[in-house]
Amino acid sequence: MNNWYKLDNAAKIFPAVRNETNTSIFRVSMVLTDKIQEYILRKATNIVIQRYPIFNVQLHKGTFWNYLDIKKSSIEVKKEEHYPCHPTTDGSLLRVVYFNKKISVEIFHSLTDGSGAVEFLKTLVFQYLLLKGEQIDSEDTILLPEDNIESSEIEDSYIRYYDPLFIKRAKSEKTYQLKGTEFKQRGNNTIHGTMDAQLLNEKAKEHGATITAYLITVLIYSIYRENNSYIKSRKNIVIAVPVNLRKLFPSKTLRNFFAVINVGKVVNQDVSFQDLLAEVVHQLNEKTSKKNLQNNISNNVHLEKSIWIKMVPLLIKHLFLKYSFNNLGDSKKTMTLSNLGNITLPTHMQTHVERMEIVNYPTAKSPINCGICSVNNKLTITFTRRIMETDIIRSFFSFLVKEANIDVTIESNEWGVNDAYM
Amino acid sequence: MNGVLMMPTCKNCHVHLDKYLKKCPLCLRRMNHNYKSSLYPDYNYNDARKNIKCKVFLFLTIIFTSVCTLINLLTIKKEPTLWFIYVLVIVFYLWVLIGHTIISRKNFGSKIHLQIFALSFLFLVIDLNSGFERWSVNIVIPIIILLGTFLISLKIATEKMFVNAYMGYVMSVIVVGFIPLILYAIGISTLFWPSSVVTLFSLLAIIGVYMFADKIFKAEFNRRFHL
Repeated sequence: MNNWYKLDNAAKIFPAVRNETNTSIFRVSMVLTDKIQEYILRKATNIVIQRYPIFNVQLHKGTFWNYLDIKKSSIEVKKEEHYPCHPTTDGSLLRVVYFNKKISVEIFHSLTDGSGAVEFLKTLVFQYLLLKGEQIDSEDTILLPEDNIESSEIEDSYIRYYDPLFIKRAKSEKTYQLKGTEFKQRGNNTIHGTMDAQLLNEKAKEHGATITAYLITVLIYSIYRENNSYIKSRKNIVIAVPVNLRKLFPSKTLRNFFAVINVGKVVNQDVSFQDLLAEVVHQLNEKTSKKNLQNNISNNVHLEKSIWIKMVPLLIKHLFLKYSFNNLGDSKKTMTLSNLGNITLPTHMQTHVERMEIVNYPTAKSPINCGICSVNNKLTITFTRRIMETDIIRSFFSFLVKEANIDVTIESNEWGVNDAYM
Repeated sequence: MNGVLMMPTCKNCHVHLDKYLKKCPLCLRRMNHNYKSSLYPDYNYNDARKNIKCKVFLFLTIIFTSVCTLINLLTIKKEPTLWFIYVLVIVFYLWVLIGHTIISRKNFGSKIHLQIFALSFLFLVIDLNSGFERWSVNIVIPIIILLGTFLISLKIATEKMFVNAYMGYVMSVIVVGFIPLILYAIGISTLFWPSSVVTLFSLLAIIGVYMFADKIFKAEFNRRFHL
C-alpha cells in the first residue's frame, strides 16, 4: 500500500472552501441499544483503521495539489463534547466520538463520501460488538478488518469513468437562498426526526414517487410556505441531491464517487403539491440517468486533466476553486438533501442497533441542510442548521404528521436554543 | 408504537419528543423537566472566550501602534526620525513569536521556518530605517539562516522518524540558504564570507540528504510536486 495518496476529483475542492461556516466535515452515527464502553471502542477503532488506511491520513499542501500522507499515530477516540461537525484544531481528518449509546464518525469530505463513511462505521460497530462478546456474523455485508485491502478500494473512480466526449454544463437559473439569524455563538444545531420507513415508503408510492422525490417535494413546499421573502423573488427553489455513482458505474472505491444534481422549480400559489411532486420525479429521473451522470463526471474531470490547470500553483487554484464553489456551486442551490438510503446490517447486528443518522454540514449560503438514512425500518431525517429560525423544519415535519399521517419522534442537540430572539 | 405513545408530545407541532429535550426543537416551547440529553452532551459555550481574548489583544495592538504612529507624525518636526516603523515591526515580530512560536501547536520545522523569515524581516526593516548600513544583509540575516538550517538539521539527525515531516522544510531552507549569495551577486549585500558560509552549509545539506535520505527525498519531491 502507498504511504501517500493524491486527492480524488471531488476531494480537491474541500481544502479550498473549508472555513468556520463550512467545515466540510460530515457525520455518520449509529445509536446502539447499550451504553458505549470507551476502552472497547478504542480497541475496535485501532483494529478497524488498519483496514481503512486511506482514512488515517493528514492533509498536506503540495506545490500544485494537496495530497494525503499516511499518519503513524492512531485515531483519537473521545467522549463527545463539541457540537457536530465542528472545525478541527489539530488537523485530524477523521474522529470517532461517542456519547451514551451513540457512536459517531466525523470525517473530512476529502477522504470519502457518505457511502465510504457508512462502510467504516459498519465495520467499526461490528468490531465493537465482537469485542464485547456478541455472536454476530458479517453475512458479507461488512468489510472486515482481516480482509485484504484491494487496490480498487483506493482508486479515483472519476478518472476511471472519464469520457473525453461530453456536453458542457448549461448555465443554471437564479436560485432562492435562505437567510437567517446566526446563533450568538457559532455552532450547528441538529434536529432528528425518526419515523417508520415502510409507512413513509408506502405514502411516497401512493403519490407515484420514491422516498427521496417525496421528501424533496415536501422540503421545497415547506421552503415556499414559510418564507414570505420568497413570494416576491420568483426564483427557483433548488435542492441539491448527491447521487451515489457506484450504482450505475460499478466501483468498490472507498473514496469520493458521487455527483450532485439540482432539482427544483419556481413555486407559487398555482403550483399544487402534486404538480410539484410530478416535476421533481421527472427531474430526478432525467438527471439520474446514466447519460446525464456520465456527462457530470466528464465535466468535472475535464478541468483536472488540462495541463494548463495542472501547472497553476495551488494557492491560485484554491482562489479559483473558492470562487467557483461560492458562485457556481453553493449559490445555485437552496439546500442540500443527502439520502444514504437503507443501510443493510447483518441479522444479528440489527438487534444491537436502534437507528442511524447522517449530519450534513451547513455552508455559508445553505445555512440549513438535510441528511437521511434508514436502518431496521427506522428512517431518520436530520436537519443541521447554523441559524436560529426553525420554520422550514417545523413545516416539514408538520406536513409529514398532518398530511402524510406519519408519526415522527424528534430529538435534538439543542445548540443555541437559549438564544433569545422571539 | 406503544413505546412511542409513552413519549411526550408537542401539542403545537404534533410530534413526539425525546423526553430529554428542554424545549420543542421546532417551536421552542419549553418542556417541564430536569432530564439531561440522552445522546448529546451539555455544551460548554465558553470556547468563544478564547477567540475574544485574541481579538482584544489584536485591538490593543492596533490602538498602541496607531497612537505611536500618530505621535511620531505629529512630532516629526522636532524628532525627524520615523521611529513608529520600529514599533510596528517589533510588534509584528512579537505576534509571530508569541502567537506562532510559543503558543501554537505547529511543528518545530514550521516554527523555525517562520522565525527565520520574521527575524530577517525585523532586522532588515530596522537596518533600512536607520540608514541601511547593510549590517542586516551582510551579517545578521546569513547568521539567522545558518542557525535555522542547523537547528532543523539537528532535529532530523536526532529524531529520524521526523524526516518525512521535515523534508519540506529542509527543501525550503536549502533554497533559502542561497538567498544571501543572490543578495551578494546583485549588490545588495557587500560582504562575501557570511553568504558563502551559508551557501556552503546549504550545499552540504543537499549532499547529506542525497547521500543518506535520497529515497525519502525523492518520494517527498514526488508528493509535493505531483501533477
